[in-house]
Amino acid sequence: MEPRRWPRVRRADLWSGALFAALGAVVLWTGTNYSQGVPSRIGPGYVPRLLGFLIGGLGLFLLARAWWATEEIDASLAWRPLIFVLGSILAFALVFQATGLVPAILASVAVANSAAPENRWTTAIGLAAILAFFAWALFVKGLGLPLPVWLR
Amino acid sequence: MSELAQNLLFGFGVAVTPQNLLFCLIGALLGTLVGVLPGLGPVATIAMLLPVTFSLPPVAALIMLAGLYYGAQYGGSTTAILVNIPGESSSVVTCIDGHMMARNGRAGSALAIAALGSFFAGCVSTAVVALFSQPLVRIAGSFQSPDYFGLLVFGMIAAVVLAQGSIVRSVAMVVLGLFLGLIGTDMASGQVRFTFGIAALADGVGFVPVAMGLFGIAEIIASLERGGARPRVAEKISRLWPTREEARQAWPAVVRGTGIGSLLGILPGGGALISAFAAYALEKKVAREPARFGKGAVEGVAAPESANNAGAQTSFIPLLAMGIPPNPVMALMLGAMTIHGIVPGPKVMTDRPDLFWGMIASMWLGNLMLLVINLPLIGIWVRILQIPYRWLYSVILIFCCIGVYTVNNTTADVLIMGVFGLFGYLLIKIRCEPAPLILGFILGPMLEENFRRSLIVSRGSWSIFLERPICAAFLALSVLFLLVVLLPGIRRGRDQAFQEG
Repeated sequence: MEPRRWPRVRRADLWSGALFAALGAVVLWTGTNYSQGVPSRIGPGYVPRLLGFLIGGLGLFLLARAWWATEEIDASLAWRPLIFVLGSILAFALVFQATGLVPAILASVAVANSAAPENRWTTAIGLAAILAFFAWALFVKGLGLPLPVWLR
Repeated sequence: MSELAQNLLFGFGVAVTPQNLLFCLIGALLGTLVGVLPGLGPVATIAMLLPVTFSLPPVAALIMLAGLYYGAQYGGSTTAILVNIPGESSSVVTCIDGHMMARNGRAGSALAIAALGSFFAGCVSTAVVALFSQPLVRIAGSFQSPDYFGLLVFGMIAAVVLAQGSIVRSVAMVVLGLFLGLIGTDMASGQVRFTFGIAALADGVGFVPVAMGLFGIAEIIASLERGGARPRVAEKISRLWPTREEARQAWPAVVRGTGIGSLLGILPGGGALISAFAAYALEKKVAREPARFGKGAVEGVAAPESANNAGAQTSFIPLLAMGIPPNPVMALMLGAMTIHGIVPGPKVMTDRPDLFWGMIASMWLGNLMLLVINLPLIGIWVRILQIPYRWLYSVILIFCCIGVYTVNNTTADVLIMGVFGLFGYLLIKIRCEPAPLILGFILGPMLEENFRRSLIVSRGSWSIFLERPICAAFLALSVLFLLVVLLPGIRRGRDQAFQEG
């Protein structure tokens, strides 16, 4: 995006305002499924609707304030750590679901390792081995948690 | 008075058993460790340790977790002074003068003053917790639902006002947190709501995955983005004892810091962070030569370090006496208590006096341990600081995953943690503070329940919130807080206080 042509695109209030306005709309929209009850016996949808109005309202206010409040965000995402850290969590969950603790740690460290560009594959092997051993020793042996180690 | 002494004695009896002493020590040491390490805070660590506490008796578990919080306040100062990076967010202001002292070759006395000041604050605030909890419990006993509703609203507003960042955005974050807290089964009607068809959400979004995602995972991504250069600890620590001149300057600052910290800790929304900022600002105000600040003023270390420790400890008061967590760490403590089947609130003191007084006594013991073990161990902490972050983050990541999984034995929670990690990182990017969200998240169900009960009592009329004097007072205070802080002059002062103290 070109900062000169779109001077307001980087404003913090614009982004947070859009986020909260959208979330407020989602809350209100999904909330129509739930009963409001009567004021003396409020239903499951009563408080969420109030909160939805508040979230959405604050979002709209922030959107309006973005016209004059100049606080800016740095409009960049660190894609590499973002993808590999989240990927490693996903890997842990999937591998652990299918097998057990040790394979999950190995897979998760293997993915996480690439989040920092200066890490080499030897780092991953060393860390994964140490971590797998420690996690087994601490959680399974030491604390006696019922975790599957290799396979469930 | 004798009743208090008796209670304290009973508490020491509980805390001095070998097992409880051991867990107090473990908590204090682990706390120091996460305090020393930048990018790993007490919230993420307590969340990681929750599963570990399953197999412990509740008293030992809470003693350990409490030790972790105030231990982190000790550890944070070490990193701040030696490497000019806040090991803990509450040590941000300590960097300014603490690191200057280190560069002037006075690292040893800065560390000693921070530790001694923290110890003094720990002693005083332990006494404050013991003294003030009892009357507060009595007051809380007379509270009815509308009063709790008012108190909760006031607590959230105070938390927002006393915290950093844009107030409107923080209020929006609190409200969003309140809503997220309501996802799952509605207690009153039994209806499942806002789960978007995801079966894992029927019991609600778990607190641990949310907290770990927002504070653990998001922080890992953000730290990697900043680039984890190996921190340099250049200065040799020569002498560990402050000179007489330094002690003379530090002493009154320690007392003032302790006072501020104890006071701000009790307030809803208070805790270690705000206490440190306020104490530093006060020192600058009362100093004869404010120009010395930023150039290695002893008071600039003594005051905030005493204040953050005092604030950390007195923030247990609202939790123990009323069952209302004033900050995210206390919210986790509440979670830990619930896991062990203890309902926090005025009843804890009468139903579980061993837990109540044992924990208070352990705080003093923990502070003593920290003072004795920490200064000799500084060499080890410095060595640990040298571990490059590119190794450390994988370790933190794995422990987060295992910790989250073991709370409910479901990988769905691991995935939820990932989702909130992403959300937390985006929130950091658009400059929204995650702390208010987690506070709202914890208080959401409580707020709805008290709101509902109030309306039942009043047969649906909202005027009950203005007719009950206690509730009306809290609501008026909330409005006043918001108005005052939105006034331009005070707002500028608040922004300044947070910029560098």
